[in-house]
Amino acid sequence: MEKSTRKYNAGVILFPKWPIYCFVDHRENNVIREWLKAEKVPWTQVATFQAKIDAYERGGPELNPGLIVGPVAKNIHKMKIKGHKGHVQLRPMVCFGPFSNTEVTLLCGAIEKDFKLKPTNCKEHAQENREALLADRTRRRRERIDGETTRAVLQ
Amino acid sequence: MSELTEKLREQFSNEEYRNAYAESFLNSYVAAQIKVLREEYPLTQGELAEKIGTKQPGIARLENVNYSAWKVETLRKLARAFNVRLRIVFEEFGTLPDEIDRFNRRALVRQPFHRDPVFSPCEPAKQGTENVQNEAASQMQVEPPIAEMAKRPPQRDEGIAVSADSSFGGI
Repeated sequence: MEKSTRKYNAGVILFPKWPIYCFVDHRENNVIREWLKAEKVPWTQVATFQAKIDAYERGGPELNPGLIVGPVAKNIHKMKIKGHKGHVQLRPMVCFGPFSNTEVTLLCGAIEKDFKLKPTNCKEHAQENREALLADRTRRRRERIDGETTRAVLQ
Repeated sequence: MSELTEKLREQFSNEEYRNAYAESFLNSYVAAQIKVLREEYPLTQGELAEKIGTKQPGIARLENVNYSAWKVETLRKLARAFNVRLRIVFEEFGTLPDEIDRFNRRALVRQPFHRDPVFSPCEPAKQGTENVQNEAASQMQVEPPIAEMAKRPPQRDEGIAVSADSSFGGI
């Protein structure tokens, strides 16, 4: 086998150890991005959320205590993103896996107000999306939630 | 340039975005390092609480990535409990992507003073050795800490590094 000269290794993009994926709907829209836009979540809150995702993808559950808690329903957990300076408390529904125990999939958006999750059917919705993903593993993508389309609406 | 730097370049042109992002990562970093140092010591949350004069739920709160209301005095107490020093520095935003890319357990571990290779006790080498055997013996006495240092992962700083990149607001 030919040995690497290391000449072309500089641009190699490493895949994170703990990847976080987003569920996509039938029209291949990222449901988390769509939810952020629909809820008009402040851009600073999106930044807080994205920073938590970036930290989790590198440090995993061990270095991110208190980020993913639950279960809130069978196979469903909630991710806790504290409201930045009094903003809305983001509680996206997630599942570990479902194809590998080092990955997490964001299944749908939710917020918490007065200790209650909104929308009230978010857990059931998350379970449906998980089932759809198990049936078709292309129904998710690993992409940033602060992408161009989100920014264009929220910034 | 890292992949993350490329991705953050455009977003960071927005002042509010970069401040919120940096503060969010700082909260994660502090919580993770307190947890890692406690586990490495090793101490339970209850034992650490006793050492700094608080209750176990207080430690659980400090180890939560969403917590941001720590006080410098509490961090000082934690540093004393872990037998390390506290370091608070301001940083440029440009150092953030690299810090995030190196966010792993090894990068967060700090050795307590009694295991610190720089200050770990070793007998002083004998002066005026009369023969090679004595010289070799004195060198052997110096070897263990150097070997330990070689094994130690590269570290940029010691103690709890609280990087208040954007403001002092959270400290």
